[in-house]
Amino acid sequence: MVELAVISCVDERENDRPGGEISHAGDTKPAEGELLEEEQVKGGLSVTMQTANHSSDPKRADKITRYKPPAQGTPGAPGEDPTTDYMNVLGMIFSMCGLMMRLKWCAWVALYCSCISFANARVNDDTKQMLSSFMLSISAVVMSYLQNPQPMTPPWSNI
Amino acid sequence: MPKTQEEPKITIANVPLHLRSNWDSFYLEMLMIAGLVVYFINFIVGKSKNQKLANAWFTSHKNLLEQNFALVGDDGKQVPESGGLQKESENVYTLWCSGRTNMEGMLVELKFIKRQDMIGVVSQLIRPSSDQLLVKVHLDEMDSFVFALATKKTAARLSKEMTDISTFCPEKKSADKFGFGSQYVLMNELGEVASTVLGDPKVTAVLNKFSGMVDFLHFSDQYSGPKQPEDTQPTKLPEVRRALVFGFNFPGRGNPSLEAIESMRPLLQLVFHVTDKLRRFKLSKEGKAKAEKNRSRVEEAFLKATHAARAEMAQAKREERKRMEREKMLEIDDPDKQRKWEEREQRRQMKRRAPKMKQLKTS
Repeated sequence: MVELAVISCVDERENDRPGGEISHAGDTKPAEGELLEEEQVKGGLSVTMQTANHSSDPKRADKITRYKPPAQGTPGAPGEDPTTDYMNVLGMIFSMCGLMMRLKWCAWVALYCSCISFANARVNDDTKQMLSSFMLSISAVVMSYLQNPQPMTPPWSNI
Repeated sequence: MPKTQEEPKITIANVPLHLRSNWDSFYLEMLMIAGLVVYFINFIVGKSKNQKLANAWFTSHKNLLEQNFALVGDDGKQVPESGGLQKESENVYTLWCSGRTNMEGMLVELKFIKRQDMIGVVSQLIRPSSDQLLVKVHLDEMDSFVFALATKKTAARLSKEMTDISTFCPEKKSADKFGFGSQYVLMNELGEVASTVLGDPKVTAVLNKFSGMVDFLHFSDQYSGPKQPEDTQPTKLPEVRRALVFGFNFPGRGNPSLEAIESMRPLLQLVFHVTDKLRRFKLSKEGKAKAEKNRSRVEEAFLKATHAARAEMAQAKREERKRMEREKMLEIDDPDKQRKWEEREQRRQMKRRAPKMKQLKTS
């Protein structure tokens, strides 16, 4: 890991130097009138510079800051969507209900809940938890039908 | 008289229905399975539509981004290999750009409608909303002010949720005098900021031309995100950053076309223009003094409010330290040392308990 410390206080006259024959590998040609402060490439990246920047180019390849995704719980974290977790828990509760009390509709609702949780999940979410909730709801449905192969009776029928 | 025989009891065995005999009695189950199939089809369709929109946005803005940033898209690996959008979830895409003058970095979030979730689709039918583009610019240096301009609904939400707006900009003004009518609400700490930002012809041009697309602008050097619902008093002020946040809506209310996405390029150019302008902007002396006063006032109020909590923490820490010392002393098996330390402790306690004698000045 190479850390480059670039110190350059360049005034306007040095802008005319063609090609930037500077021995540090971390300088760029500053825009007219701008002073570069002491720079440090964060994270230990070694970045190769382009030396032919004309003065109106806003790119500063030596000032790259790597993306630090905000830690969980800090404000402003992108995508704080609690739907996934709620649906996970709800799905587990419903499937337990369906298994214990042999209610078919509970098991079906549990299956739907885990599907919704899957659809709303973030990419870096734990897939194991979602998968286990899925499996639990499927097993609840299957067990309900093995115990009692009667079809579900809708609540609006008086049979 | 013939003897009547007792009729043998006939018990009908309770045979459970065979699953395969009558399918049509299972119509509810069929319905459920059909519902699941529909859900999954919608998931795939919605996911691909969101992905298409994200890619369309990225391709139309890629040139502009690459002209401005040295790093477009950070994929989190040690050395960034493939630049591009990162998928956070099926409806949220992020893009981190860095390596430009005047800013540490820019985080672009494409927050689409949840087209992949049936519930999202249904709620879109009931209450239509737009796909959102959120641009957060992290500045390395900025003068101290808090400024926000938003549409009415967003303004209500921001002034309630955002810590810095609710602290520094308690009053909401209409943006009438800058010519925006009653569309936008202005929440501002220092008046000169509003006139600088909204007096700029480029800004007003974009705001007027794309008024449906600009949802809010929030510029602050005390940006700390939305308020956290906390029951206990926080013992430290939340960490603040210098940030410019731009909220834009995609055109087309939930169904943006490709040309419409192309037309969003001026919005990103507005971001760069405002960033460069505000980075060089310096407050007047009165403005700076007022800003300093506001901030120290807020800090004082916070310190006062948490005084009790902090005193408690300090006391707890002191007691903890004493306990550690005592334990260490007890471990040392030297009775002499222990006795000496106990005596010293006793003397210290006596001094603290004895009434402090006040020295009277005899003039």
